[in-house]
Amino acid sequence: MEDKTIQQNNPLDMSEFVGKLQKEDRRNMSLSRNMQWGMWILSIFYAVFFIVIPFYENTLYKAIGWSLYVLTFLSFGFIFNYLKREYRRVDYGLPTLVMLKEAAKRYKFFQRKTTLATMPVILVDVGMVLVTFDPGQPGSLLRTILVSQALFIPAIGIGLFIGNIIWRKRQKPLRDAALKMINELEE
Amino acid sequence: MDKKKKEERFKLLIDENSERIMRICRYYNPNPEDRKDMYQEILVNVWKSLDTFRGDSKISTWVYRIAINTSLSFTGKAFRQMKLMVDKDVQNMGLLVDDELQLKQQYENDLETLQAQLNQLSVIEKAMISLMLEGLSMREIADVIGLTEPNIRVKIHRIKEKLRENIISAQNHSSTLD
Repeated sequence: MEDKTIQQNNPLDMSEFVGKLQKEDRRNMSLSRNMQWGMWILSIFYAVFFIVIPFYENTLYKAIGWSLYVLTFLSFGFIFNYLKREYRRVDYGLPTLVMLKEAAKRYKFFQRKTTLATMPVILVDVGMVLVTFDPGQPGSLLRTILVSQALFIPAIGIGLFIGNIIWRKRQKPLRDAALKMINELEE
Repeated sequence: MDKKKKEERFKLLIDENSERIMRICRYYNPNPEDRKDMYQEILVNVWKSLDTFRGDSKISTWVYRIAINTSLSFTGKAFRQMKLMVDKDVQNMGLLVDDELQLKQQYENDLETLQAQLNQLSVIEKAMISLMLEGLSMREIADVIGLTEPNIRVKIHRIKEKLRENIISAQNHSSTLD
C-alpha cells in the first residue's frame, strides 16, 4: 500500500526531490567553501594587519612568526578544499566490498589527512614562539619556548582527546562495523 | 555532465528502476515510514554517484549496488537492527532451499519460522539473500558484492545450509514442546 503511494507520487515528487538534492549539495558545498574561504581571509588579515602595516615596528622574528600564522591558515584552507573534494568522491555505486574498504579507511582516526594537519599545527607552534619572543631580554628564547609549549602541548592534547571522544562515538562504530563485514566477506 | 542532462538521466534511471529499489527497501523495513526514508536515501546516493557511473557494469547491477550499500549504512542504525522481511509474494522464495518440493512448501507455509531464522543471519548474509530473492544470477550477485562468482556460490550454499539446519532444529524444538 505504502509502496504504491511512493510509486504513485514518484513522478510528482521527482522534480521537488531533485530540487532538495541540489539544495543539500549546495549547502554542503557552501559549508566547506565557507570554511576554506574563512581560512584564506584570516591569512590575508594576518598578512595585512600584522606583517605589512606595522612592518616598521616589528622585529624580523615577529614578521616571520606572523608569516607562519598566514601559512597555517593557508594550509588549513587547502585541507578544507581537500576534504570537500573527498566528500564529493564518496561513491555508493562501487562493489560492496570496495565501498566497505573505503569507508573503513575514511573512518580511521589517524590517516593521511591527520598527517596533513600536523604541518600547520607545527607552523602555528613555531609562529607562536617567534611572535612572543623578545630578543632584548636575556634567556628569553628558552623561556618563550617553554612557556608557549606549556600552553600549546596541553591545548593540542585536549583537542586530540575531544576529537578522539567524538570519533569513538560517531565514526569508530561505523569503522568497526565495516571491518567486521569485510572480514566476513573475505573469510 | 551538465545539470539538465544529469536530471534527465536521473529521472529515466529512477523510472526504470524504482520497482527494484522499492523491493530492496521492503526487504529491510517492515515500517512504511522507514521504507520511505530508505527509498529517499537510495535516490540521494544514486544522484550523488551518477557522475561516476561509467557503464562498466549493467545499470541494474549498479542500482542494486547502491541499494545494498545504502542498506548497509542506512542511517547508522541498520547495522544492529536491520531485519530481512519476506512474504509469500516473494517470487523467488523457493531459491532459499535446494531440497525437494515438500520441504520448500514447508518453508513457505511456516513463514514465521523462516522469517525468524532469516533474521538470525548476519547483515552481509541478509544482503546476499535479498539479491538472490531478487532473482539475480550468481555472476550478478558477485558483481554487486565485489567477490568472485565461485566465492559467492560457496557463501550462498553455506547460508542455505545454515538456514536448513536452523529451521529443522527450530521445528524439532517446537514439536518436542508440543
